[in-house]
Formats: sequence, C-alpha cells, structure tokens
Amino acid sequence: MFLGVLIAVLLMAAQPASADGRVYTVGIVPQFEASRLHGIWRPILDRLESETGLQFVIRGSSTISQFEIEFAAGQFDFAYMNPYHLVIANDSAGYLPIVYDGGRELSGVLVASRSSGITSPEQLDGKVIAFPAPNALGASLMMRQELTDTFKISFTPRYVKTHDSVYINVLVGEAQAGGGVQATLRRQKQQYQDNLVVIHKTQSVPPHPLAALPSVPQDIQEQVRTALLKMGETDQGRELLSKVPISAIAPADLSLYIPLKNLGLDRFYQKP
Amino acid sequence: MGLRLRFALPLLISLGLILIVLQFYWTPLQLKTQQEEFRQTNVSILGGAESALIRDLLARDIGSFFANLDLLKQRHQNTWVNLSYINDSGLQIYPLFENPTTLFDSSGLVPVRYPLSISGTDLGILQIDINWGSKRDEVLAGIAQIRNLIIGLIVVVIVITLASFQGAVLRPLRELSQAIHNIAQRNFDVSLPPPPAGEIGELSRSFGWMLRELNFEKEVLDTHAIIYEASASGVLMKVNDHFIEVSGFSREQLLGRDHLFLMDESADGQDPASITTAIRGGAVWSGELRYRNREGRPYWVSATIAPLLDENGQVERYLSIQTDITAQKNEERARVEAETRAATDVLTGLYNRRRLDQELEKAVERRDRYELDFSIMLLDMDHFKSVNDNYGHLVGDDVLITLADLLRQKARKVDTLGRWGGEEFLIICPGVDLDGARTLAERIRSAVETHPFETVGFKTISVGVASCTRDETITDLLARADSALYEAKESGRNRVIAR
Repeated sequence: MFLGVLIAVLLMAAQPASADGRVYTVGIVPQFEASRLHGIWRPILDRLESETGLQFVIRGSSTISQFEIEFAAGQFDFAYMNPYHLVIANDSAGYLPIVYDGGRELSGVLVASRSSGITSPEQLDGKVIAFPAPNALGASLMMRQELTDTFKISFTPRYVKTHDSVYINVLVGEAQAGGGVQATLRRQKQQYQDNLVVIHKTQSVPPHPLAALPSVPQDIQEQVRTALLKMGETDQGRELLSKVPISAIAPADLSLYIPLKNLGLDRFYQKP
Repeated sequence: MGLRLRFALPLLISLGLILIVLQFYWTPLQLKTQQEEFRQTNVSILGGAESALIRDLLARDIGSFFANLDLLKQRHQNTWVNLSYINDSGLQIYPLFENPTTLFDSSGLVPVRYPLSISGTDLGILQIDINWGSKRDEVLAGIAQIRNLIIGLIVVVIVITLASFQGAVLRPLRELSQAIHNIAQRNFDVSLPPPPAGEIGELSRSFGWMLRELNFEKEVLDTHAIIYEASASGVLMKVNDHFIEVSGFSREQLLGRDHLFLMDESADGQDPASITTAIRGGAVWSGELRYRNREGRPYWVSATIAPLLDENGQVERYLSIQTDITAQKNEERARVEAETRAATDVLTGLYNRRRLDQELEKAVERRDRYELDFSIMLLDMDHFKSVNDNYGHLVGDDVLITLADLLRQKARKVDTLGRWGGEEFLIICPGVDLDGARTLAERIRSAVETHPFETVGFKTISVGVASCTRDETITDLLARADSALYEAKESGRNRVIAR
C-alpha cells in the first residue's frame, strides 16, 4: 500500500501536465494490493492518455476505509468503486458513473452445507451466518438486507475476511450458512462445491462503475467515456479491460444504481 | 589353535564388539536422536507458522487458515503426511473430504501433535505424521558407511599385523621348530636359520647354543659312552648309538634283549645273576665287564648300572653308563705281562733275581711294620757244573727246570720262590722261625734227593737257612744264609745248615 502511494506520488511528480495543464487523479477501490491494481489500470490509463491526450495518475488508498474517506472528500477525479460506494459517493461528493461492465451483474448467494438439511433462509432464524466482510456488496450488504427485510430473520453475522473462509466456515459447521458470490463459489474445490447448496440468491445490481467527480469538466468526462468505450471495441482493448474485470464496457448513468440506493444498505454498512 | 588365529582373535573379537555396539547401541541411539532432532525441526516449522495460523483462527478466517495449511503442506510434501487440524470440539476441520494417506511402510512415520492456543485458551491441535524415512535412511547409510569403514580398517590392520607377524614370528618359529623336530629325530646335523632381530632371534640364538652344547655332549657321549635304559625286568628299552657301534648289533637287535646278554665275565669274577641280584635290590653296581660283540670279539667296559626308583621305592628301570676300556684293559694286561716278564726267570718261570730283591724288601718291610718274621733258604744244586760238562747245557737247563718244578711242589703256597743265580735258588718263607725253616728245607732236600732226574739220574742240593731277626738288613741276612750254604757245601753237601 505504501509502495503504491509512493509510486503514485512519484508518478504524479514525474508526469508532465496534460493539454490543459492538469493531471487527473484516478482512485481505485483497493480490492487487491497496489502493485496488482497498478498492473491492471496503468495500461488502460496509458491507452486513455494516448487516445485523449490527457494525463492520468493512479492514486492509491491503503485500505477500503481510507478509500471511502478519500472519495467522500472528493479527492479523486475519477474513481472505480463498487456500486454501493457509488451510492455513498454520489450522496457525499456527487460522483456520477460514466462507464460500467454491461455484461455482468452483481448478486450474492447464500450457501448452506448440504448435510445440514437447511434449504431455505427461514430456517436460519437465530443461527450464525458467515460473511466475508461487513461491506461486501453482494455477499454481505445485499444479503443481509434481504435476510432482514424479506425473510425477516434474525441471525448472528460472522465476518470471516474472505469468501473462501465463508464457504469453509459453512462446511465445517462454524456457521449454518454463508454469504458469497457465484464467482467465488465456482472457484472453490469441487468437493467443497459438492457439499454446499445455494439456498438463496439476491437480486442483481449493476457492477462497479468508473465514476467522475462533477468538478471534472463535462467534455473531459465525455472524452474519457468515449475513449473507454472505444477500447471496448478492439480485441487488445477488451483484453486490457477484462483484467479489471470489465467484460463488456458500456456507458452508465445514475439511474442504474437508484434501486440500490433504495435498499437502505447503510443500515448494514460498517462505517470506518 | 594356530598362533595366527590366536593373534588375530583379539582383533576379530574387538571387531565383533564394535559391530555389536554399533548395531545395538549406537545405531538406535543415533536414530533416536536424529528422529528427535527431525521432529524438533518440523515442530519449529509449525512454530514459525503458528502466529499466522492463530491469527486466522481468531478472525475465523478459515479460508486463510486453510490456505496457510495448504502452503505448508505443499512446501513439506516430501516429509509431511496427513497434516490435519482438529478444532477444540474435537472435529477435524482440515482437510475436508480427504482420507488420511497410509503409507506402504509406516515405520518411518513420526506423529507430531502441535496444540494451538492463545492466552491459555485452546484453539485446536495440528497433527502431522512426519515421514522421516528418507532421513532415517540417510542416518542408517551414514552409520553403515562408518561400520564399513571400521570393518575395512580392522581388516587391513589384521592383514598387516598377520603379515608382519608371519614374517617376524611365525616363519622363524617354524624354522626353529623344524630344526628341533629334526633333532628329535636324532638328526643332529641341522643348521639353524640365521636368527632374526628381537626375541625370536634371542630364542634362536639360545637354542643354537644349547644345540651346540647338546651336540658336544652327545658327541662326547656317543664317542665315549655306551648308554642304555632297561626295564625293571632287565629288558633293553633304549640304547645309544655308541652301544650299537661298539656291540656291532643294530638297534632292533638290541632292544628287547636282556641287558646283560652280551656279558662274558666281570673283572671281579661275578656272573650276570649276581649282578642282577645286586641291582634288583636297589643297589648301584659298578665294575668292569667283558662283553662279546657280534663277531664274538671280546671288549671290556667300565660299567655303572643304576636302578631308578619310582615314588614307592620300587625299581622302575635301570640306567647304565659304560665306557669301553678294552684298550686300557689290554694295556693293563700288557703291562702286567711286561711286569711279570721283567720279574720272571725265563728258564724256570720262577721269580728272577731282581724280583727276589723286591720280595726281600717287602718281607723286611712287613717284618718292620707288622712284626712278621720270615726266613730264607738259599739252595744250590750239588755238582751242577759236572752236569753241564758231562751232558751239555741243554740237559743242564732241563735239570734246573725240573728242580724248579720240585721246589714249586714242595714249597708252601705262601713261600716266594726264585732263581737267585746260575744253579742257586732262594725261597722266602714268611712266618717261620729257624727251626721251622730248617724242617721245610729238609723236606725239600729229601724230595730232591729221591727224585730221578731225567738223563742225569739222582742229584742233591745243599741248603743254607737263615732266619731274619730284628733290625737285620737284607745284606746281612743274605750273608748269613750264604755262609750257611757254604758250610753245607763244605761239610759234605746234600744237607741243610741253619744259622
């Protein structure tokens, strides 16, 4: 993380100013460590720069909490964040989404051990349910919202850091059910998957957008959006974007994320 | 047991002991320590991972926990078997859905239990079977190497030792032994091998001296001594070479015969029976014996026959050492003969004048020392000259011879007879006084008178008798006898005059 900050600072210092003299900061939710994020985003930004003539610098945040604080303070010109972050960011700093992965949807799955005999969320009343982290969108926030609002059960959440942990906790019986996402479930060992059963799937929401701060001039935002969409048309560009992961880049707008806003997920959100 | 084996035996036994110690003490000890060390190493590995694992457990991040365990398992896949985690409820939660692996050879598995806990609260137990088989094989191979090295070294040492032993001790000993064996076979003509340095050389040298001494003694004995050993019943059991040489018989012909079978006579007149009686009684017999050799020729020995007694005092066997004295005996006889010749009158065989003088001196000596009286008679044939003149010297000689015979007949055994001169004879009569001598003389005179001499007929003698007094010299005595004889002649012959 620190390395990321250092690199960012150095890059910022080394970066010549863009046509309008300004270097645009890009913040990325730290799902992975800085060097990995940098490896994913720097090539994309390079393409953007050559396409638009603008200058971009990645600004790393050490933790998700830090990221949340920073985007709330509007410290990124552009930011890649999860849908719920967008909701908050929109509330606090007015960020608006410009592009997103139109080929995916986010939703959480609730799994239970096949041998436990639990087949529906109603049976989980009063039980322990494992989640990766409090603020994981699909696996935790949306799941907990639905369990509470739709199934009206009370349960004890356990935050076990990773999706892998969630599944194993369920398999070993530490938790009677666990919240994850399809992608991570499919990545588990076959034996694990064979012994888990999905007992509920949340509604789907659009995935992570790249959002822009309102103070960024509209035409600049458009240039960026166009350039990114254009990247999605070439094999090479798609290749780069798939690392984000973005499988089918598409233009985004706030209306896509309004339903999410209405879920009242802040009840379940853990403030830093 | 051969010397070589005897010598190599301590080394072999040491080797055996070393191998036993290696096998039953050292190897198990090494295995035990190595195993413990190995176990400890692995426990430390767990210790290194411990804090991360505990952190994961506390955060319930079982995913990370599993990932860490997977990593450990991966890293130590060569030695770790059945890594598992049992939680505090006793449930095995790692690995899920996997059966424990059983190895074909589970003898090399070391179970390790590593409890995880924090601040006194137990979280669970990590269990691993650590396969230290390959490490164990390494240890065993190392020990085998040492063992082989030791065996090799000791074999080399044994070979070198035996080789040098062979050269320095065995070979010289064997040569010495062979030489001794030859000697025991009575083959004294051995030359010892040159003595090597050191103790064997000392032995060889000492033996060489002893051999020379023995040789010398044997030569001396064999040259000069006849030695035999006979059984208690007198049967020859052992004879030396000189016996064989002198007697002319072979060893086989001698052994088994009676030890006195060659005996002819003894110098002091004993026969085999009396000698046997003496020695059987346990007495040592010494004397001179005459034997007959194989060709029948006699030889004389100076013999000592000693009975050897057993612890009960009974005769066990006889040992005899004899020296051939034939030469000495012959010399003695020759001497005696010479002496006799020197003392004998050739014609008559009686003592001659010289001898008579000696006898007279002896008689005087006896008189002086033992007070033994004696008398002498001097007698003379009457008219002997006429015999010679009328009949010749040869007849005269015959007459004298006949007279001598007569004297021998008539004189006593103790009397000493001799031819004094021409036709004069002297008789020394010990232990008689004058009267006794006169009587004796008379007897002789009358015997002569009545004896018809061949050719010449009857003859007579005149006798002068004198008895020796104290302190009288031979000359005086003879003078008196001579004077008496003269008187006998003067007074008519054929008579005895005593003075």
